[in-house]
Amino acid sequence: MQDIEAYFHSVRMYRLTVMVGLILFLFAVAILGIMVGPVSISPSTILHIFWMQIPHVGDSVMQTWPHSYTSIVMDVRLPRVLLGMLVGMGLAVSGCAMQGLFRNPMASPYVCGLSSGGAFGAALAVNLGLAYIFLPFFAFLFATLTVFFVYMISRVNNKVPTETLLLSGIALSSFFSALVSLMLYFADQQLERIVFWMMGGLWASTWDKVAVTLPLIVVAVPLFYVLSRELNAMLLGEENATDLGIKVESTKRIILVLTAFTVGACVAVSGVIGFVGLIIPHIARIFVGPDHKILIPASVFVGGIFLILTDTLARTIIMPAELPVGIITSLFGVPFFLYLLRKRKERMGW
Amino acid sequence: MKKIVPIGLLIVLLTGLVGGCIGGGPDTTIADELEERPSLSMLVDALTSAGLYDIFGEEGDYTLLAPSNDALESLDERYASDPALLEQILTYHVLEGSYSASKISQSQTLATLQGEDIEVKTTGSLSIGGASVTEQDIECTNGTLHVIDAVLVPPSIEETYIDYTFEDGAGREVTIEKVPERVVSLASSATEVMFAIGAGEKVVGVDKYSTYPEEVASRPNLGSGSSLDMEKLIELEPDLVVIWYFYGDAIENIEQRGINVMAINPASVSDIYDEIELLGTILGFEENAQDVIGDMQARISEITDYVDTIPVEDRPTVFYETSQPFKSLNADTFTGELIEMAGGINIAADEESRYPVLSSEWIIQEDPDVIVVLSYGASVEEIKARSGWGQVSAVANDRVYAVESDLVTSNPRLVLGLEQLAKWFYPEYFE
Repeated sequence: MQDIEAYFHSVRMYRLTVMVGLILFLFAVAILGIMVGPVSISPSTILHIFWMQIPHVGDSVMQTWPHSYTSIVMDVRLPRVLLGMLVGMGLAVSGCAMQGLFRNPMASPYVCGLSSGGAFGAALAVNLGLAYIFLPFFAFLFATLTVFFVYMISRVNNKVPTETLLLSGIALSSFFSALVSLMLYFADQQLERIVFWMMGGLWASTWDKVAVTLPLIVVAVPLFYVLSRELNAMLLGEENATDLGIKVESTKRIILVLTAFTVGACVAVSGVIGFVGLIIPHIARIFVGPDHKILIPASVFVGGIFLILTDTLARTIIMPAELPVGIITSLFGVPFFLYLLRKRKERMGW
Repeated sequence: MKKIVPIGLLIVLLTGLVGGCIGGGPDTTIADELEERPSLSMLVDALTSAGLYDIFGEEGDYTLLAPSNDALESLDERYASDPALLEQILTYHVLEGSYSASKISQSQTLATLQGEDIEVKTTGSLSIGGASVTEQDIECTNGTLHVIDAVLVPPSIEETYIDYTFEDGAGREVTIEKVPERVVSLASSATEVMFAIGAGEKVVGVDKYSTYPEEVASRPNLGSGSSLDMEKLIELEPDLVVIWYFYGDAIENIEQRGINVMAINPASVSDIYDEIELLGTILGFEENAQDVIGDMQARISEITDYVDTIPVEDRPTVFYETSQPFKSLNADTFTGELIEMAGGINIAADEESRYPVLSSEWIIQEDPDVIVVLSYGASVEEIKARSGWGQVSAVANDRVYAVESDLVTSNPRLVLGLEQLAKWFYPEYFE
């Protein structure tokens, strides 16, 4: 018995170490993201700029740098790093939950049509000639509506078989993609920006977007964490989960709603950023194993770290020009993921 | 391939026959005279195959300007191979009534059987439509025969059959044999140029991006180079298709159907002049084309003359945004050239990529004096509301403008775009 206790203790210590490490790493990456950029601003200037923001105390600071630096740090870099973190967290945690729900390692947060629904909403907003502020709103609305439709279509006798959910998600995705293509075909020039938007990116980060996304993530992540027992049980199969006293159908519903809101918000503020939601849970799983109690928080932080880091690369690698972040996430993320996969294969012998 | 006629034989024949003709009045017909001259054998063959030979053996009163074998041999293959054209060319050599050399030299033009006139020039030696007379005044019972050293081609045919070869925008060698009468334009730039030079009547079909001038709306729409309505194209029976150089598949596809294709790739203002000139040449609107170019040049130099007086450091810096947020263009682009001509300093001019996506913070640091955005890209309000852009000079001074895409691309209206840019860059001067 002592051995088992010792084992659990070591597991707890390992998990604690991982989490503390990830949190520190996230801080380090966020600071790096704020420090670097095409405009080189010295760390001391950045510190002074932050200092200046503090009411009363900041008034004593003598400004020795161009006015534009304050805008760059406070209104460009900071919201961008924060939004990158939130979107990375949201996509990773939703991807993690979807993979658990569908018991399918290929599931991504977009599996129920969130991305194409969001793209359709965005394209519709541009096509209707609405003001730019409506675009994220439409994207969010249609992304969440799509999940709702997928759920309603899949429901038979108050049950939603995951296979049906997956298939109707794919079907509705294709349908909305076709609608977007149709709109692009008929109104090509005006919708050029939609193509760009669909590639995803954090170039249009604002404090408003941070303000909208932050509460959603802050609420959703703990809720996902609360559901980790249910997700663990679901890994054993729905019948077994039911035997363990899990309300399978309501769990599915809650996870779908949470994902819809979280990913809908991510899509609305940053377009369709691929790869993060699919691969980050796997990377986290390689480090901490399949238990959702640790997998969910680990995914959250790895997701945040990963997106800040790749976005920092995207905006500095060919400065002052920028690359779409999607290129970087895949270009650097895939080799890293494959490397981890092989390492694990060697260690585990499969 | 020239036939060498023994000179001795020629002299014997000439003296004998001319003497026979003149002495005691003519007793031979034009046909007889032709028959007896080996150096005119090709003309006999040609007249025979055109069914015209017999009239020169019958009674009548004609003047035949007979091109020699050497002249007929050097006749363009395009004319020689087309019987209908050859008949027109042959009848262009026949005048009604008997014209002696001296009578010809007193006239300025000669009316031909074909219908068009031949010009006569007497400065120096006698020249009939550009040909010299090598043997004159062969009097015959049914008219007069003059031997000339070149084939005369009616101006209408010469204007139509231009046989113009050039390298097009895709680096292909294109030969326009006959002036096109039915043109399909799958490039808005070419559509505008053709209407601008007055050749709009010849445009029988356009692509969906061709929206100017308004008359274009009445032309059948064939989609675009990437989604071409090929059936419609074939139905329109164009004799020339003008298309953007980058639609390689469409170019090949149209070419395979035996339709002449010409690709355009105007990348600078001078390329536009070339395009206007080229379309003017092959469509037969050279003068209009020159007028359009002249007008453009005059209006452009009005702007550049002023800009030249402004020292570079006093010129406004400009951030130009295309249809995608933060996506600009460098100096190698068409719009980039216009910005420079209008006296703006493009902050992205030296970027390596032609269309770089710039970092928001870098743009803030560059602090452009003017921001110009493509009308179907981000809205002016959207740009002003961007995070951290409130302090940028262009935003603070309310100098963010949307420009219509048609005015800053490769078409004759670029002058309007240029004038618009100049007004935004130097409002105090150009208002």
